[in-house]
Parts: sequence; structure tokens; C-alpha cells
Amino acid sequence: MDSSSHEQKIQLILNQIIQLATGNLDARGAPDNSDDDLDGIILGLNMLGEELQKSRESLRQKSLELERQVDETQLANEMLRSEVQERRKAESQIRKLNQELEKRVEKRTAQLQKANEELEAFSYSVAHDLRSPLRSILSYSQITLKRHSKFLNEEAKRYLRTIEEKTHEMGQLIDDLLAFALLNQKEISTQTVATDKIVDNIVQSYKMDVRSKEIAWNIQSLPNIQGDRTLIKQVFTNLISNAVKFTVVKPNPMVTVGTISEGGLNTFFVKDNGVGFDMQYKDKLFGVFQRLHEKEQFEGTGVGLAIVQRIIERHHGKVWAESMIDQGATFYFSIPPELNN
Amino acid sequence: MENKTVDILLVEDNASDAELILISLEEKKLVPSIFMVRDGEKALDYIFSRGEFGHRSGEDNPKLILLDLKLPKINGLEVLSSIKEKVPTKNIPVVILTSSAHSKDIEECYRLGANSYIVKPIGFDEFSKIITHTVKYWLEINKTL
Repeated sequence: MDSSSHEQKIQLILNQIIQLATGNLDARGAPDNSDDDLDGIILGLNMLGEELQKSRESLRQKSLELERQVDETQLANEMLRSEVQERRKAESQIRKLNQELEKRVEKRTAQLQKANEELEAFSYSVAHDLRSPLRSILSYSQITLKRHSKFLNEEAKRYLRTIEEKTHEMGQLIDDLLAFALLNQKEISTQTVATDKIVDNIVQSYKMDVRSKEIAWNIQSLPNIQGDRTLIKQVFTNLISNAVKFTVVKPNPMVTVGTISEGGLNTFFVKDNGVGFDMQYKDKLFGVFQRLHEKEQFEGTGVGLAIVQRIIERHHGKVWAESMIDQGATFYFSIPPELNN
Repeated sequence: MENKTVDILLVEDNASDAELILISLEEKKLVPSIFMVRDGEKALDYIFSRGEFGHRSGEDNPKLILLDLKLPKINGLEVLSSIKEKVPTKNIPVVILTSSAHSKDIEECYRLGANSYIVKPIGFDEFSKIITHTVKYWLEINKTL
């Protein structure tokens, strides 16, 4: 190998190095077996080129991957942003709906309040306006009977007494109806109610009354319950007074008050051996002004059991009755133990 | 009539209720002098010497006012509150005589300063007993300023 071709070869190698150094990683030299050393350098440079190319390719891949990841992250961010926006929109919609609902509740409450006030005004008028003329009718009949008795024959006196009696009846009717109407407005105040004391009080008053002294009382031990004391007392008063009313007319009258316990629920009952009623009318029993017996035979306005039912309903309980004609009647009621008004 | 000292000012729009009060007193031989007005406006005119009662001197206040609640023009609660908020009249005993046993009315009347609250019964015997007891108590037993 002559020196000029040697130099030429070195020049080629230098060229290759420059090419590689400036980034042309494709630059390759061709060994020509003229000089082992130089051929070795060329082969080395060729290998270096290969390696650099591989590294560059892998870097490119990595950067592509990174770019892809950046793109993905951006996309995710974008999605998140729009999700946040949507959520805000939904929240503001919910707020709007809530406000509308609140407005509607307010409106409905105001309507109910107005209806309640109207009912109250109505009860007030009934009490005042109906009782005033009744007082005149009754009082003037009584005064006439008292002051002018000597001018009246027996028939006239009987008529006046009938007016007196019927007016009393109507007064009672108005009072009962008012009590029934006001029952819906009364707030229930829940407390522990000792039913045995309540029943004992009621029974004592009947024991002292000559009209009911024939009655044999069977009072079992009664549990405490949760409820409104005044109203629960009203329930027992009405049920016991009914039992007495329909039993005293029969021989050996007997009234039983007790409980049946079932699954932690106490069912109270008031049982009598009186005239009873026909079970086909059991649904009518609790209606306002509903009577199953003739007025001449048994006094009363027909509001008592309606009041009982309303009170039990307001305690979220149940009331029902069983009977057979002439075999007595049993009235049951139960009130759930945890009363959530 | 309004120049004379009056024992009872009766504010009652119902003529028969008023008559029943007079009959009750008469039966028990009670003879207080009674002046009757039939609406709330007349009641206030009388008490405060206004309108047709302008010449009445403020000295001769009635010893007792029997006041119905449901009255024409100005209702009993307003009459009561006017009487009880002014110095010259606030010591006159006012007995509410009404058909209403409404707890809201009872509460409001006592809040406004009523001296007594009576629910008129329907039957005459009871009515008469309550009226005579009330009149005797406030005119003979009770001491006012």
C-alpha cells in the first residue's frame, strides 16, 4: 500500500468520524484489507455507528412514548376539567331544584296553615254561633216552665220538657263535634302513660255511680305505654263508657279491661257482656255520628268511637272490635312502642 | 241615664243573653244599675266618654264590665286591650262572658289583663247561678281602687 492511498484511507476515516460526530449515523466505511489497523478502525467506527443508531432509535422511541404520555395526560386533564364543569352544572341544578322544592314546601305549608286556621275559625263559629241560640231556646223553655207553670196544661209542659231535653242533646252534639274537630289540631305530647292508674280512676267513678253499681269489674294489671296522656285517657274513658252503657241493661253485667302481649306489642282490650252488635256493621262502628242502636234505647251522639279511632290513628296504632249480638263486645287497640311523631 | 253612676257596663250584642242576665239578677233580688251597649265601638265610646257619651264625666267609671268577645264593629279582645292599656280605666274589673271555651281566647284575654273568664253555659239554672255569683263577687266582695 502506497502512502497516498494510505492518506486517502485516513481521510476517509476522518470523514466518517466527522459524519458520525455531526449526526449522520449512517456513515459507514468499507475496509479493503490494505491495512489491518485502519480496517480495524473502520470496523470499529462502523460498529459505533450501529450502536449510536440503535441508541438514537431507542431514544426516539422513548421520546415518542413520552409524547404519547403527555398527550394522554392532557386528554385526561381535559376530561377531568369537563367532568368538573358538568358536576358544577349538576350541583347548581340540584341547588335550583332544592330551592324550587323549598318554595313549594313553603307554599304548601302556608296553604295547610291557612286551612288549619279556617278550620279553627269554623270551630270557633260553631261553638259561639250555635251555642248562643241554643242557650236562648233552652233557657226560655226552662224559665217558662218555672214561671208560668200554672198556666200550662200537662201537654204543654211535656212539650217544653222535650224541647229542654233535645236542646241539651244538641249542646252535647256540638261539644262532641268540636272536640273531634280540635283533636286534629292538637299536638301529641308523648310521655310515659300509666294506663292502670287511668283505668282505675275511670272505674272508681262508675263504682260510685248508682246507675252502674251493678257492674262486676275485672281489671287486669296493665302496662305503661308511650303516648299522649290526655288522649289515651280519652280512649279508655270512651271505651269503658260504651261498655257500661251497653251492659248495665243486661243481667249480671261485667266489664273486663286487660292486655294481650304479642311480639313485644301490647294490645289493650275492653270487653263487656252487653247487647253487642252485628259484625256486618263493624266498619261503620267508628264513623262520626254513626250509631248502631236506637237513640231512645241508648243515649249518645255517635262521636265517641270516632274520637277513639282518631286518637289511635294519631298514635300510629290500630283499633278494632269483635262482637256477636247479645254476646257482648270486645274493643281492642294497640299502639307501637316507639312513637315517632 | 249615663249621668248616673253605673254599677255594671254590659257589653252584649245578643238581646236574649242580655235578658237572661237581667232575669237571673231579678230572681235573686239583685238590683245593680246596668248600662248596656251592643257593640264594641259603643263600649269604647262609653268607657272613654266619647261620641254620644262625650258629656259623661270620667269620674263615674262602672264598677264592673261584663264583656262578650264576639261583638259587632270592634271585638271584645280589642275593647279589653283598650281598657287595660290606659291608666284611668285599667283598674275597672273586666269579666269576659262568652260562649267560647277556646284555649286561645282564654290565653289572650288573660294576657290582655282580663280579671275573670267565664264560659256561658246553655242551661238557665247554671247560667243564672254563675251570673249572680259573679255580680255579687265583683260588686260586693271584691275591693277595687
